[in-house]
Amino acid sequence: MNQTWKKIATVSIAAVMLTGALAGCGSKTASIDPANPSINVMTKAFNTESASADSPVVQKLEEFLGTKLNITWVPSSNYDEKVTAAMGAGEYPHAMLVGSRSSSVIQNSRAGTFWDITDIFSDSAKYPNLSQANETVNHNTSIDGKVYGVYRARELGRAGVSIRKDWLDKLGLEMPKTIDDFYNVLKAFKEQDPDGNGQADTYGMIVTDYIDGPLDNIAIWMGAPNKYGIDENGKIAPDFMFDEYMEALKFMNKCYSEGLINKDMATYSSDKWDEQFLSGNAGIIIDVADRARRLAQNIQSINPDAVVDVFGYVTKDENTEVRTLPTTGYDGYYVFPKASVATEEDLAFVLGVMDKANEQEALNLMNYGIEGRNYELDADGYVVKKDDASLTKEYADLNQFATGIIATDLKIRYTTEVAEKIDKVYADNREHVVANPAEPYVSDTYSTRGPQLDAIMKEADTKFIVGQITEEEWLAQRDRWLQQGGQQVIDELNEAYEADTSVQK
Amino acid sequence: MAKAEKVVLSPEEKALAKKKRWSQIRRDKWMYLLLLPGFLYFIIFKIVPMWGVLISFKDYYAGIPFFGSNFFNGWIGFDNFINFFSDSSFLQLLRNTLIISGMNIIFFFPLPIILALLLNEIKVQWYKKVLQTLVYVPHFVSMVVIASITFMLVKTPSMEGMSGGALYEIVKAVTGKELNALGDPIAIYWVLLIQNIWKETGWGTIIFLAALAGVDVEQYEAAIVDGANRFQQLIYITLPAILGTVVTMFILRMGSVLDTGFEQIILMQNDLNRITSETFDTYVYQIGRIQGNYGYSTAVGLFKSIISIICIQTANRLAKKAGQEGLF
Repeated sequence: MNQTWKKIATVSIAAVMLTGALAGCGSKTASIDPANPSINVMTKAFNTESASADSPVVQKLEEFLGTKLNITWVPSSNYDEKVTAAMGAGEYPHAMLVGSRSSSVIQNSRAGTFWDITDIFSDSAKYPNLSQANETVNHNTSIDGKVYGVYRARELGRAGVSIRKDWLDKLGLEMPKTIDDFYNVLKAFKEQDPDGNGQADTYGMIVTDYIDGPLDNIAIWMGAPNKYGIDENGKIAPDFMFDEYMEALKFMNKCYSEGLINKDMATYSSDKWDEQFLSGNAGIIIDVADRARRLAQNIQSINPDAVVDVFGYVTKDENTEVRTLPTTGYDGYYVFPKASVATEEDLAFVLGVMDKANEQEALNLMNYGIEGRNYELDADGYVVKKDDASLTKEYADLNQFATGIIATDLKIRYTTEVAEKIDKVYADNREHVVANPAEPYVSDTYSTRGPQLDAIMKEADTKFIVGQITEEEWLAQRDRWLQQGGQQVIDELNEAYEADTSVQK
Repeated sequence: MAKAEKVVLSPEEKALAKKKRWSQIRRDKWMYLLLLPGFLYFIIFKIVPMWGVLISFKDYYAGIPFFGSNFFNGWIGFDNFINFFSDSSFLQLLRNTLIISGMNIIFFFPLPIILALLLNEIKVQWYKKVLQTLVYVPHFVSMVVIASITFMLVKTPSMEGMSGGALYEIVKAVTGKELNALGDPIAIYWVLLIQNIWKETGWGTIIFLAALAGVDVEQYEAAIVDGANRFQQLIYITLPAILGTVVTMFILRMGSVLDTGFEQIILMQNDLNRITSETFDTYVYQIGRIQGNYGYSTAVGLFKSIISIICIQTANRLAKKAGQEGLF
């Protein structure tokens, strides 16, 4: 009897230990088989159902790229969390989109978890498309001067204000040129009954709990720097150290207290940003210019008479220079972890695929699907998408894999006038963007304490705008920011700035 | 209660006792076999991973190998703990955590007991079963959905003249006050509590209903013969019968006094109430899960665990002092 008992115990413990050991070790992903290549990709998904492996579009893309694609779609809402989890588990795809530069991403880059691909961008023979990557953007994504990823290009001059043109016309107002004009429009939208229904049921501008968007734009117009600026001593300082930033806050506060901004701003979710614009309650949204296209399309079914227009900026007054808020020029970048991309050959293969994905044929597949199946070309060569949900599903979210270093030639013709104006706004904005001098520098303190530090200022800004705190209290919060590590952030950025020989000071 | 005197055993007696114990184990071997999976579960998933607390003494980020050549680098002693305690937000986090958790213990904890007692008094079996099933339902509703419902009920209007959520309008009509449940730093505590009560009260009755099912029916019959009414039966038979369960649940609850969960709070958090709603769990979520600073967040987690052990021990002692059985 005793014998059997011992046997049971030994066998079960051994079995358990074996499973434990197997789970613990994990097998290293074998290098990519050139005869039958397959690449694992982790990227963001915005649709509830993304393109699946059996979609004809994906299959055609695989054929073109010469590899199987095994794409893991992660919902965009908790993408950063999944990146951290992947790093924590050490289980990597061959190409992983990194959404934000969190402290673990920076630490892992420095520790050599990802391939340093700085040199590939000068190899135009091997990577004809990737080598056309924008140097400034690469500089912005770099860590300690090394580039670890292929960025996903985004329009630099994307900022823009969507506005109800028909309201302007009805009230006999011009498109605003200066901050004062802008204020007057907001006020007229509230007080002069722009929808003509005889009721005081409209206000000026929708601001959401994501106040940074509107606030940063207004601050730039007022003359504040873009996130960081160079102060009178030639040192890098955050935007809220500049007086112009306070002017922007005061402007927002004034608008808020006069009811030109929605009263529930601090609790109004940015997911519903469009809602009160579409319902005709408010007439202005400061965000990105392409929002105007979506607004123009969606408002037609609700109010066919509504006209949505867009402009890029206003100036502080007639005589000041034009200033616009640029994006960073990228939205995340693809890194290539050494754990999965084991050898130089593997890396060359994966990068080759990334390069090929910038060919027009691949871009068209990812953006629009297959011609004749998912879209048709009209007489002028514009894309006409087929609206069938089962067809759009076939390429849904595939554009997240596109890095867009090369622009797509094919364009969609939109039915609304504003869509054409958006490209003009982009081009105009690009001429006047205010660069962020601290963009490429990494502050260790910021990478660990960044979210808490940002929260301090965001909280203070919101409370100031809604009138819960005074300027003195706001300044006290700024001092708290400095004490909590903000001063270290400034010092570290300045150190990196001083050490950077590529910038003229 | 007098403390039992320690019995001193002679070597022979010890040997005998040992033999007896082994013979008992042999006799109940199938029982022990049943115990084995649970035992292994705790060894494998709870005890073995404990080595992980080591990273709280390291400057450690997700993805950096722990063993191997890196093993000797980055040991920083108690720096993570010192940073945490000297962080100016520490007291604020502690205060918020204790308020949210304390309100749950005071206001939420008794509710499942009361509801269980009420359900227990229903004598029509089918009605009781239907009700019981219905009160479990909210437990399975996702927190995201509950947060959305809350938003819709209590949202404030975007401008004068527009209408807010239903509850906001009712409060305004009745009291004339404008309730800002989402943006008010104190109101958030009540919102969190009410959400919790709505979601978990029914589910919490399960364990008490199980305890109530075990009460000897003869006691009630005897009480009825003695002329006790329903209320007296409740006070003198039912309550004492489930008191042990209540105490056990309370001790267990004390172990999670610093746990507030992060999902619910993050969903309800905004710039206007962050100052009162940021807790240890939301803080760790930011630093550990998003930022990947595992060393620091493990230090916070370890601190929470130590406090939990102290709380459980204290509650257990107090329970024993009060004449209850306690947990261990």
